[in-house]
This record gives sequence, structure tokens and C-alpha cells, in this order.
Amino acid sequence: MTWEPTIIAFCCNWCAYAGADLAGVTRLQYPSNIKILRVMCSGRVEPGMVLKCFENGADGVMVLGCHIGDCHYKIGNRKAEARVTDTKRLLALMGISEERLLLKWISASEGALFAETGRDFVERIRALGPLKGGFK
Amino acid sequence: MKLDRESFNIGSCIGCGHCTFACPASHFERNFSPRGTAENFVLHGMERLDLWSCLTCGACRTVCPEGVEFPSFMRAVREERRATSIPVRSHAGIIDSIRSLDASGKGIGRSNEWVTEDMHLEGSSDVALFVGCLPMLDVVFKDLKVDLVGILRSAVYILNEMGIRPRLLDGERCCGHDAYWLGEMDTFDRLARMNLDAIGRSKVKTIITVCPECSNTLGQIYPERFGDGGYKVMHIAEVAAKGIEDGTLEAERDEAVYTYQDPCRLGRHSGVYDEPREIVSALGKLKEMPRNREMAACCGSTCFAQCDHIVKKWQVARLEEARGTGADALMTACPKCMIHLSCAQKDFGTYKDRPKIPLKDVSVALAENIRRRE
Repeated sequence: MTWEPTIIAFCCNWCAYAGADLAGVTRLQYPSNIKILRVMCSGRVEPGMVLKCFENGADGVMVLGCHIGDCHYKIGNRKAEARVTDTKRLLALMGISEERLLLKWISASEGALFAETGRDFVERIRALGPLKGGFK
Repeated sequence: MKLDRESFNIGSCIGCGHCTFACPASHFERNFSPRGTAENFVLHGMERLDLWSCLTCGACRTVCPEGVEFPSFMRAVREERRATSIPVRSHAGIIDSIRSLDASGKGIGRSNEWVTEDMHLEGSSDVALFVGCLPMLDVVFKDLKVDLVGILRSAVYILNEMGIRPRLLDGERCCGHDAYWLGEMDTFDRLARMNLDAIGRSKVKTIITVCPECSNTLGQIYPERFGDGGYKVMHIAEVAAKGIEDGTLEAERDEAVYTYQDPCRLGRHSGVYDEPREIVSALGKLKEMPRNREMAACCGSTCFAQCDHIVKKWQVARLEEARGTGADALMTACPKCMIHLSCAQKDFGTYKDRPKIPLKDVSVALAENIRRRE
């Protein structure tokens, strides 16, 4: 069996999740590798949660939230931005490529953008290959 | 292993209560004492034991006249009760996630982005510097403004001054200290095997660590569990003290007064008391806190588990003790002591009589001192 990437997408309840919903309702095609996890705000996604995903078999993680200024909780996505920056540093220090973590803003009306982001990210992870271990 | 009265001498407890008096946890925790735990275990088994208040700092073991190995006993109970009892995990479990992601073997090992160009490292050296989790903790605890990477850089600087060019281990992982003391033995075994592989591949004779937890785990727990690996482990304070003694490192004494916090893993667990004190005395005047050496109080948290308001109370008490000596700064040789004590200072920072005292790592202070004269 050929390897298929496993992608976890943390979607914020107010924008990105609705965007994913819209992509579904308008029947836009995006790969089934993406497993969506709904969180109330992208700021909820802690570095620990992202690391847990990688530990348990994810090859890539997406954090999707509202555009800056549109956050339902006013500054939640600013926090998400800071947290993802930290998480990327942690991943780099542990020898995992930063490319495997993506932060993107997708509003509730951008179903097409969701599908496109998903397709692009799956392709990017496919190019990187499975998350391997070992040493330099 | 089945735990019974014979394990770790627990059955020979005579109920003298020395341990309870020495234990920093039982001074503040209403429902925990080493003696009570030992008696409860002997009488009723392990059903209702409080597993997570103990810090395994080893103060109880030092005063015990009957040789009860209480910290090891606590660890074994935790291992046995793993399925039903887990500790409160502070910092949203990030420390545990880093450890278990490391244990899963994913990622191609550490990226050494903290290394600067003026450091002299040599790939074929038989001395290795064990980095540990400090670069990661530096990201996690960036709001505390403890320069953890600075400790590593100072260690390399001191070694270079002594003419030692260390190497870094390829494929180094977390040492597994926390996993061991929290009873997560499968995680610990996986991490230990990977580290032993890395050490075996590189054929180093000496490993130098900056964190007492690493030196204790690599130096004592690995050989205990997996047999002798043919390497020697030293903490940077031991190396630097030797350098001061034979004159390769020259520190200039100033008028400052320092006090020293004994890390439990370096002091009671590894028996290193004098070397860090030699460094402190070479830098300034050493003034001891009332509880020092074997009886030093713990910095408040091991393995980042069960950190709560009660822990904060005794951290503040310890900081007050340090301030009471009139010292200009509190020195320690453990990055974890730095983290926990600065965390206590930060949280109590809004109080009027806040327990503020500058905290310093001995190797950072020594490196600064040597640098100043150049």
C-alpha cells in the first residue's frame, strides 16, 4: 500500500470551520487526508497539542482561523500567531521541519480558499514524505 | 515488580518522623507526609496513597535512621499506579509532549541553533556536552526571561577556556529524567536506549552536562538499569571547580555576597556539594542559608508535575530564606531551580514585600567573571 499523508486541521469554530462547511456544501473537491478538529478559537491550539499530533502519527498540522481583526474573541488569532511561531521553533529544535506546520486565515465565506489550502498542503507534505526518525 | 513491605526497606520504618520534619512538602501540604505514607502503605496497601505531593528530593532519605528508600519507593508506586493515577500536568502538558514526541523517535534529532561562531566544538572529541532539553525549555519559558541557552553557552565557554573542545552528540534525545520519576517506564526505556545508542556510536569517554537531572540520570540511573556504558558523567560545576583548583580558570573575587541553593539532583542524589561552593567562593563571599547542603530545601517542583499554590508557598519561603542571608544574589547550579524559583518570583511580583532576589547560575556567573577581564 502506498503511503498517504495524514493531516490534522485545527479549524476555529467561527471562520475556518464554517469555511470548510462551505467547501463541502458547494461540493468543492479537497483531499480526504485532512482530518478536521474543531476548536472554539485558533488561539486555543497549544504547542503541546501540535506536538501530540506529530507524536501520534500526523505528517502535517494546519492551524486555521479568522483573518486578523475578524476574530470572534477579538485577539484570539493574534495569540494563535504567537503560539504557532513558538511551536515552529520547538519543532525545528527537535529536528522536525517547520514546513509541516501551517498557519492560515480562512473566513467563513472562503470555501474555495479552504479547499485550495488543503490541496496545496497535502501536496507539500507528500513532497516532504512521511515524518521519519533517526539522526543526522 | 510487586511492591511489598520488603521493597525499599519500607517495612523497617520505625515511625520516628524525622522524614516528615525534613520533607519540604509536608511543611505545607496538609494531607501528605513521608512517614504517614510509609505507615499507610504497610497497614493498608497502596490504595489511598497521595502519589504526587512527593518531589523525590531525597531529604527524607538523608535523615532516615533505618535506610528507607522513600523516593525510589514513591517512584515504584507511581509506576504501579500509572493506569489509574496521573499528576496535574502544568504548562498545558507541553513538557510531557516534548518528552513523548522525543521518545516516539520522530524527528532527526536536535538542531543546534544555539551554537554561536565563537564556540570551539570538535566533532572527533572524546568529551561530549549533553545539551538536554534546555533549548526547548528556553522557548517554553521565554516569558520568565531566564536565559537557559546562556547556561549552555557559558558551559562551552568555560570548557574552551580550560582547553577542552567538546562535541555534541548526534541523535541526542531527552534524558528521560521526568519519565523515570513519574513512573512512565516505557517512555524512559525508549529514550534511554536512543541516548545510549548515540553515546555508543560516538565513542565518547566523558559526558559533561549542564543540568543535574541529566547528570544524575545518565550517570546513575542508566548504569543501574542497563549496565555500565563505559562513560563518565560530570556536571559542569565539577569540571569548572577542577579548573579553578589547578589554575586553568582564573576568577576574580569581588565584594559581592552570594548564597547557594543546592539542587536535589546534584546534592543529595549525586553527592556533589563542595564543587559549586568552590566556584561561588572564587567569585565572591559565600553566605549559607539556614537549610543548606544535605538539608537544603527543594526549589519546589520536579518533573513539572503537580505545581500548585502550595508549592508556591514553599518556594516563596525558600526565597525569603535566601533574602534573609543578606546576599546580593542566589546562585544555583540547576536550570530547573532557575525556572521554578523565577516563576515563583514572577507570580508574587505584584506583592509589596515580594521575595525578589537576583538568581544566577554558577556557570553563567563564572563565565561572565572570566569574560570581564578579557
